[in-house]
Amino acid sequence: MRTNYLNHETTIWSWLSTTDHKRIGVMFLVANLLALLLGGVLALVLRIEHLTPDQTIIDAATYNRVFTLHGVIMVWLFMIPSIPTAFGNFLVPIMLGAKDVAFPRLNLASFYIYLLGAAITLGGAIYSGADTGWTFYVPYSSTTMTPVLPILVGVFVLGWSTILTGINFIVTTHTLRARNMGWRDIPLFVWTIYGTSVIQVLATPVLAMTLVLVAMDHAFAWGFFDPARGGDVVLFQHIFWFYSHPAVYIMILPGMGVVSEVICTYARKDPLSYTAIAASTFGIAFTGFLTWGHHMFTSGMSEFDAGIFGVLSMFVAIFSAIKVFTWTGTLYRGQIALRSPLAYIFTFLFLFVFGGMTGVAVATTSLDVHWHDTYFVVAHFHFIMVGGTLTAYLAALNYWWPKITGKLYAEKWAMASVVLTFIGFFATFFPQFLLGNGGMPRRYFYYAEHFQALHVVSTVGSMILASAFVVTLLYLGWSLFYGEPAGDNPWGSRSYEWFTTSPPPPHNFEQTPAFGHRPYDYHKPIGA
Amino acid sequence: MYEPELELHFEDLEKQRHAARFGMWIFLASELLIFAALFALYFAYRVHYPDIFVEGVGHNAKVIGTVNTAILLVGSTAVAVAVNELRRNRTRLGAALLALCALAAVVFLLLKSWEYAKHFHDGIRPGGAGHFFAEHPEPGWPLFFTLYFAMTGLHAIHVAVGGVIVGWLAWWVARDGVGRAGAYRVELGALYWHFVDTVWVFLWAMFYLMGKHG
Amino acid sequence: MSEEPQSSALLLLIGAITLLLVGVSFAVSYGEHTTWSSIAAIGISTIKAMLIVWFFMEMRESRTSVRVAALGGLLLFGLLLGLTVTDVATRRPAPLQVPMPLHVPAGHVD
Repeated sequence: MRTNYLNHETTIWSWLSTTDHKRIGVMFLVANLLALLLGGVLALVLRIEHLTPDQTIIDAATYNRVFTLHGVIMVWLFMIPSIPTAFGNFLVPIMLGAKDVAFPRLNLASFYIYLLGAAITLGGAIYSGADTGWTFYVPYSSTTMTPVLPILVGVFVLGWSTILTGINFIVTTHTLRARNMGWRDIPLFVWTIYGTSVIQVLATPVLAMTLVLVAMDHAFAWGFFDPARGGDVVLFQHIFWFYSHPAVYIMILPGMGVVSEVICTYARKDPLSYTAIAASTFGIAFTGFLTWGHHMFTSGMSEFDAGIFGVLSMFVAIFSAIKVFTWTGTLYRGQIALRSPLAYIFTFLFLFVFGGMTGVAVATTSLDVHWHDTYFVVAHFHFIMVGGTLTAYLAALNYWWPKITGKLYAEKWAMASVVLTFIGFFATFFPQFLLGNGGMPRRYFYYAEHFQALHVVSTVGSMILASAFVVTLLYLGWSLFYGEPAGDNPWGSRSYEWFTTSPPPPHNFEQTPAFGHRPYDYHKPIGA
Repeated sequence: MYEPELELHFEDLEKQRHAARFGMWIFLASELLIFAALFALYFAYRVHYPDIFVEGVGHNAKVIGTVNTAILLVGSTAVAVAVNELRRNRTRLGAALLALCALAAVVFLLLKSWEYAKHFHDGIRPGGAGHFFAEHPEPGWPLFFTLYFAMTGLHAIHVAVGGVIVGWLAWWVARDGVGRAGAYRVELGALYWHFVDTVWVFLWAMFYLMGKHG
Repeated sequence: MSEEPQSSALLLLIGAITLLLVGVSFAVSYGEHTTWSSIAAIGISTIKAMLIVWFFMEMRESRTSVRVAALGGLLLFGLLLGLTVTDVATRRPAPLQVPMPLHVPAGHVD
């Protein structure tokens, strides 16, 4: 077998001390998947608990800890790092024709910082776990008896992993492009990773400080937000959401990059407008910073500020819509090969638009006062995060699996997984819109009896969704050992990562690449 | 004389240097946003409690604060000239100026510690602890001083880090005979120091100038 | 950014100007405190900051990418402060709620 990044050195130490972005990407992939598994199991516990209106399998105090941990793990151990650290790390240098990222040792540091943050967070959870929700609102988080500090410290540490990764990707994109690669030749996935990185480096520091302030309040009674000492709890919400709203764009933008790549490959077509997709990435990144107050409409914020945020919140939808229309226009009249990654993308398009429109709905102040803190909001963000980001993540996993492992997977099983994912997802989360609209509050242990039927449907859905993941793990695991060799370019794509071997050699290319074509030149025969 | 090594993945040294500088600037933008939350709290609480903030300024030692401001600026000037002179291969002058800046950091921290000690002696501690707050029971007083300790404390940590970096650079320049070729690495440390200085210039105004004096 | 040395004398001059400005703000702060004196203090600090960034941090010779990074950070800093302070500054007391009776008794004229 030819030398590739997997087999050229096989000791454990060679993996632990690697500065090869591909190996770091693989290690992150494994870590992310473990986090997803853990967060997913916690979700199942919550769903089983909600089969009955009263206690089912856990008590109320445990319930609060479980939903807190579910949120913390899913947001910071899975969603935020997922596509950038696994696929961004693996692919961005290759897509740019580079040998590595700009700061390879910093990249390895990012991985270990992630592990440290994860260990501290999970350690705190095992010790007792906090019951504040992943949003740590004061004054409760300053005064709760549950040990909130390990999670605060753990997430603070994780934030640095994110920031360093972001710096690395931005500098890489600027300084390591192949000689003849202009700004308009960069694959669209790289643009979304770049946009995500901008948000990461500018928003995450504010989270870091927010966590420190809560920690100081909790541990040393510094009283930044203690009303008795003049504190204003709404200010916490301002600085928390200043990060946490752009954070959701950190979660979705990389997924949008995956969508662009998969659509162009399987439709064998240039994007309808490369500029629209690339530029709207920055539109989303920028406007995403302007909207945080829409999480605070009922908090006691001034009406004037609420009005400003309500208007600003509408702008983000424009750029998402530009992307969706451009993707649809790209698919139109393409030579579509319906393989499982594209099937995931169709799922993404439907669920993302659905969820996105409910986002515009909850951003409307007069409507949100009724939906705030109900299951309507829970359903909205799960449509985007699970229906959007997670489907894109699964699409990416399937699409780039041959490049990363050199093996093909069983397409029929993959398709089965897509179908199960969609059905399971919709059954889990659509009823939650109805629950929320009907008045069911979120984070409540007990609920009124008339909500039970919808909760049962939702729980059954979650079991189907879980089975979809099991199927995915099984067929991918099987492929690792018994899959057919993939070849350099099994999908016939024009994007640059497919112009090296699968798996790639240790320094990505056997010869310094000079790509003779633009990444989406499907209208020209190859070699022209 | 020190010569930087071209790393495998960079096309040429110019790109490598630009990558380092650009990376440091992005990091400084992140650092600015770390301070941002505290600045936001300061100005928001100042709107809540305008009179207390104005009076609170009077309880801070303005002379020491001003001397500290001057010290950081002297350090900044020294560091800027050091980088410039290293580009002229003036290694020893560069190292000496960097050492001067590191000394400035030490003096700043000593003066700051003295200030904090004085506050503690006056019964002013973070979180509204201390007898001062028994004498000034209005809500808002603890906030002003907790913000003071938090912001100047966070800044002092940065001064310490900056001092260590600049001190290490002084030692490295002297030991390895660093001249023009290595100046860009010293620039990275210089950028960090200038950032720390810039933040203080505003903290000084916010906690020592914008209110009643003494 | 340039690898060429610039004038060290210029750097020393900038340093001296910033120290002079420190002296000015120090002196001004002994006057009566008003909103304008606060604005002046911040204003002078801003000038000092601009001198440090433009000359000492060599922004005047920096590439666009560096300038955008700095500007981006600054913009978001302003955004967080701006909208947060706007909230606090524009809060109005909530209108008084008059409690309404649940039932109007039969025959009651209202």
